[in-house]
Amino acid sequence: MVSAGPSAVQRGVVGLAVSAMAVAGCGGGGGGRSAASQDLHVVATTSILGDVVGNVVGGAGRVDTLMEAGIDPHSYRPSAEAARLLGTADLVVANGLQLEETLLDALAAAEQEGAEVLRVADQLDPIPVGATLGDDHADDHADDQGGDRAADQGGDPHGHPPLDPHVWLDPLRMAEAVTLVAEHVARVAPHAAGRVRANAAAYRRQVLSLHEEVQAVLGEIPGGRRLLVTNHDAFGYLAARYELRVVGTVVPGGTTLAETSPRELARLAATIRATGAPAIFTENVAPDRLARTLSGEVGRKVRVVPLYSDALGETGSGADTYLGMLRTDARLIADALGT
Amino acid sequence: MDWLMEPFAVGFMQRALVAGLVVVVITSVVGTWVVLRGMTFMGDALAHGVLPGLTLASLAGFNLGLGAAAAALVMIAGIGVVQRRAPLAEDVGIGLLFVGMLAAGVIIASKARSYAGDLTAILFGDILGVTDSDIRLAAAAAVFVVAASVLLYRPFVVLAFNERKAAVLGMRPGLTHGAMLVLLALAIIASFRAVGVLLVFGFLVAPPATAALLARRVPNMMAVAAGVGAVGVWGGLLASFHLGTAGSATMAGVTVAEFFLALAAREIVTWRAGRSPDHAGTPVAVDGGDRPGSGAPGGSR
Repeated sequence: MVSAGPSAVQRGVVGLAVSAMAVAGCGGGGGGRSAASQDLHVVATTSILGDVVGNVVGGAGRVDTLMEAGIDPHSYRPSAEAARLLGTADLVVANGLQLEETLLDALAAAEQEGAEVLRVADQLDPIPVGATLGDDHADDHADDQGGDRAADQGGDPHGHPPLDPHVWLDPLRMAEAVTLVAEHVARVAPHAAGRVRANAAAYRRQVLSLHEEVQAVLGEIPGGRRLLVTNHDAFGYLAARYELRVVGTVVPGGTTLAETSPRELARLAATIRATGAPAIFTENVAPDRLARTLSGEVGRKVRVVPLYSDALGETGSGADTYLGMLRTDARLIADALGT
Repeated sequence: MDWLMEPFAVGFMQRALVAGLVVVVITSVVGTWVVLRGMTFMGDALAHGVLPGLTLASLAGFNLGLGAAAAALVMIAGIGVVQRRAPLAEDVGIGLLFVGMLAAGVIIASKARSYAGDLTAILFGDILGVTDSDIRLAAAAAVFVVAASVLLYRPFVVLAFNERKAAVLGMRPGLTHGAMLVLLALAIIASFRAVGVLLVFGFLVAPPATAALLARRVPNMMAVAAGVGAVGVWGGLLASFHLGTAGSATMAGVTVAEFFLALAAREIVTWRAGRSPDHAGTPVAVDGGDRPGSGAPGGSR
């Protein structure tokens, strides 16, 4: 996936020269990196962002994606090559809000070295994890999720739930992300600004029309069956946008790395029985063993349906692009809940 | 008594309990040999050394058990090569292969384009996701391990306590040692699906070590270890249910806590009786009156 361009070494040297200048006190303003070379280099963290950024940049530069299809961003292990790419890019597009749990230090280091890092989710009006979860937990925190959302990004120093990083599952937010990415690319590579803005406008139209499509597909699900049980709490934005209710998650919270406690699992089985949720949705980045345990525990027939959550699918899966992934998910959900 | 029964009303908790108890039978028998022979580092290394085999097998859609067995063979062969060809103590070879295999496992998993080789699941297990076929596999292994230990009881005992004597008696200590390693590998492979390699290792060491404090003859040790392990499984699952903690890790923690409780109890009894701790400190005696040699038996050869 990661192709080392011919000018990689050259750029490294330029990077060094720029840091040396900064140390010497004569580094003037940002954007110094791409000034030396005309070719634009953008690095995206997740496979999903890689596809979106690729559509925005188009032929105007090179886009490298750190995580391949199917890689879980929560548990991704960066290579030395990834660190080098982050350190030499003109622009790094990351999701943010602690999605890339293992890249936090590497991103901060790249920023310190002078790379511009765009954390898209931070700027897309994020909602807290579990905000759409239909049980007591969400209500407990309902009052104190006031206006200071931006202040407690990702952390919970005041006991607030962290903000949910899974913004890409809401296409309207992603349409905003497309514009954000284009503006940042235009800033680091003014020579390509026109082309990139045109690409972004065209892609944004596709994302918006996908939203209409998803709305129509999910709109068919009858009222009493608009219930989601998912593996980890990744589908909050999708649920909020399309008026579904997240009844519960197999793994607690917004990360695939959390441990399920037996009592919570037993309670979730009872909740599924009580609400009549028709399906348990697993995901392409995490094992489905506990979901199968859960469906066995519920007793009545509950379908276990794999969705694409935190990474694109393999080539040929129909979910190997962002648009394809969301379209596939919408159909799978509508099929599982609709009939 | 509701809090004692309620957790086991659900199916997956019953399966977790049964799977844990079957695993305890395997690990109590094998772990007693491991502790007596001073092979705990080998056990730890082997438990983690199967990782690359597991990740490769799951990525290739291969049988996981076969992958783990292949990795165990590579590991044992590698340790043997270092031991014979390099002028170093045995634990150096074990350490080398331990690190090498673990690193290989992590490298393979990090290049994997799917969660199939998920390290967390392999290391810490999914005691809540145990299936009936996992339990059947573990039960078959338990029968095999108990039978092998009965058949090879005499050579195992002699090897565990006095390797030189084993050679003098013509008991082929190399072959016996190999058989012990096979049982160890089998215990790991048959149990990790249910409880994860971390907990397999915990069960291999903690209950037999506790038993060594409380019992003197090998069969008694195995029985006590099984009891201690069973309390760990049951108590760990209860605690996990009521405290909302991770199942496998809680079970492992309880068994280690049992060891220190037993040690403290023994210290108090010794102190009360006014005897010197050294006198009561000899853990095991075998039929012939053999005692473990000074230091770890069979540790460095």
